[in-house]
Amino acid sequence: MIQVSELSHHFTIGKKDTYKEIPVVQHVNFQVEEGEVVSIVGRSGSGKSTLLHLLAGFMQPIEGRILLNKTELTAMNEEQRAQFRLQSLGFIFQNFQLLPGLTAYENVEFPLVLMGIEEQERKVRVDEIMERVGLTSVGPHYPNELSGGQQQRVGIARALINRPAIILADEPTGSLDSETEKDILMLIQSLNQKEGITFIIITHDEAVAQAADRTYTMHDGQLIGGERL
Amino acid sequence: MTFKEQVLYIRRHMKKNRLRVFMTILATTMGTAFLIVLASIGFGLHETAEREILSNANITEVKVWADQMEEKDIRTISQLPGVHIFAQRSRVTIPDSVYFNEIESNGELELIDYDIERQLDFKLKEGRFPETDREVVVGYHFGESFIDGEKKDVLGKAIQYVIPKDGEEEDGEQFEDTFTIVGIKEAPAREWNSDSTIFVSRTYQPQIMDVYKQFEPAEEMIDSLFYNDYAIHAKSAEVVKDLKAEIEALGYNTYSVLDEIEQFDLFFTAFKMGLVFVGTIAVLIASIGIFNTMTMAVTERTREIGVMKALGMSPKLIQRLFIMESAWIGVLGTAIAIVISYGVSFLANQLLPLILEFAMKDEGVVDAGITFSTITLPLILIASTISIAVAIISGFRPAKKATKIDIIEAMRTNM
Repeated sequence: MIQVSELSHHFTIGKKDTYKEIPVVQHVNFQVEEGEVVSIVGRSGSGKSTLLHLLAGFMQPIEGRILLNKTELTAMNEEQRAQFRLQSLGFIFQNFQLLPGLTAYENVEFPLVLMGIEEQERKVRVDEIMERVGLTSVGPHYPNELSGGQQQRVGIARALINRPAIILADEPTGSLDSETEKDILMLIQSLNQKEGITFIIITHDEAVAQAADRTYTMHDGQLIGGERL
Repeated sequence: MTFKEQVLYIRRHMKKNRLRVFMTILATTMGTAFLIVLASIGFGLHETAEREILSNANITEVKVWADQMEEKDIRTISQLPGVHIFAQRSRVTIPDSVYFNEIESNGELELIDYDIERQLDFKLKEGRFPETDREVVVGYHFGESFIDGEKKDVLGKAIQYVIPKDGEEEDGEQFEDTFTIVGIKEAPAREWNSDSTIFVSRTYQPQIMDVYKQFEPAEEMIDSLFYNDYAIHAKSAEVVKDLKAEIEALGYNTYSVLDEIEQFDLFFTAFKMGLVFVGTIAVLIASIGIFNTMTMAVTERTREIGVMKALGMSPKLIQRLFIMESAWIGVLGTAIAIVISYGVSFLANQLLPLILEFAMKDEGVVDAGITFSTITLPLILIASTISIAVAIISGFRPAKKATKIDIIEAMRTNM
């Protein structure tokens, strides 16, 4: 399902002539099977978020290959990667990243608008997802009128709306209290078990890591572990 | 994203920044209205000049400069495919006089073919057209053309036509005839033109020749007894140029009002282009506002753009949305500017003559019919194209900047 080989990336800091390369991801190799929940843990600055951003195609790696569903993401240009994200990937953000000018309903609907799907079909699909994540009553509310848990549910609904096979989650419970965290975790597990969606979750949270089928640890840009629990 | 959704997205953002967008549209409106009104002065003066020329001439008329055109040439020209009417008018070159109740008039005789002239623009103010060659129509000012300076009511009255044998000499041998005035021609198009002509049917021409021959003049004098004016009327303005060329090929010099209009057009086109250029500077100044508004919009929406890119919005679509937004500002500004310009143009045409009349203490300004400002469709199209194109160009750089926004950096911002 996901195959990453020899993936490396570095950031450049400093001025043109005195710049310095800081390696953040170094020769990462791993595979994720269909329907798996994989967590990646590690300290801040270990490179786990960068790895997830590379998997999402937010940026191009310096070297290495990423195959998602047999499609080589690293061979695509920016336009193609955007199209791939829209059609095949879901992304859950730590800070929810909802569009403040849109209601909860419109936030969930937005990827379908980008895909050019008819309004009637959009309504059916949004209503269905909203119900599934327990958000039927908050549709007309704007993000600033929702609790953290509700906002994250909206974020999850938005990640699910394009029916992706893979969802990448960057600390999905990082901004939530422990009660809400449990709810979100249960929702992720339920989506994985009922719909077979593959999850790669970046987390600091022990509880989230334990809920995964496998856990990798990111340390100084290198990925270790990954044994089945 | 469908076009409808794109429009809805843009409108939503414009609503959110209502005041700033309104001010930008206002600046665009002012710039475009300035361009239209300024250029409309050129269009207005062009129209006035053209109307001035055409009021004294017919656009389909080709005049032929020839004292005496040969009969075969008249036939050839009459049969040319573009010819609608061939009109010949003749004036008597020898000294002759017209009297009404023994008071001499300054009016001159002109021999015309009434059937042909009636097909052209020969209209009567009162009376009727002649039925015999001793009945005539006179020009609108004939009643004021007498040497005693008094205005006379001449309709239905008789006038005496005299050709003296020895020119100006009084009490000598002379030819006399009497005409009855049955109609008065309508006034000339321009107030300052005076028309005291006595229009006599061409069937009377042999009579004058016979009389003159009896006076035993030299042979060459008989040949130049009449000064002819040949006016060929084309079927349409489009064929005038070809018709002129065909007549000139027969060895005649021609004149058409189109020659004059062509020269005027060249001058006024340059003049209008100059005005459009100056007006465009105002639009360019307004474009700075659009550029500023769009740049601020991109900066303010950095996080939002980052999220949308993360969700799969393509850079091309982001660019299109921003360009559409600046174009929409241009379209709205232009539409309002057109409406305002029509209002300003109307007021200018109504008020400027009154102001000038008051300032110059000249009562003729209002009646002169000067058009100070005309907004034509080409002007609207030129101004709209400039304004909308400038708006799109202004939005291009901010739109490009929006496409370059880094997703991760953008999602870290707190705007």
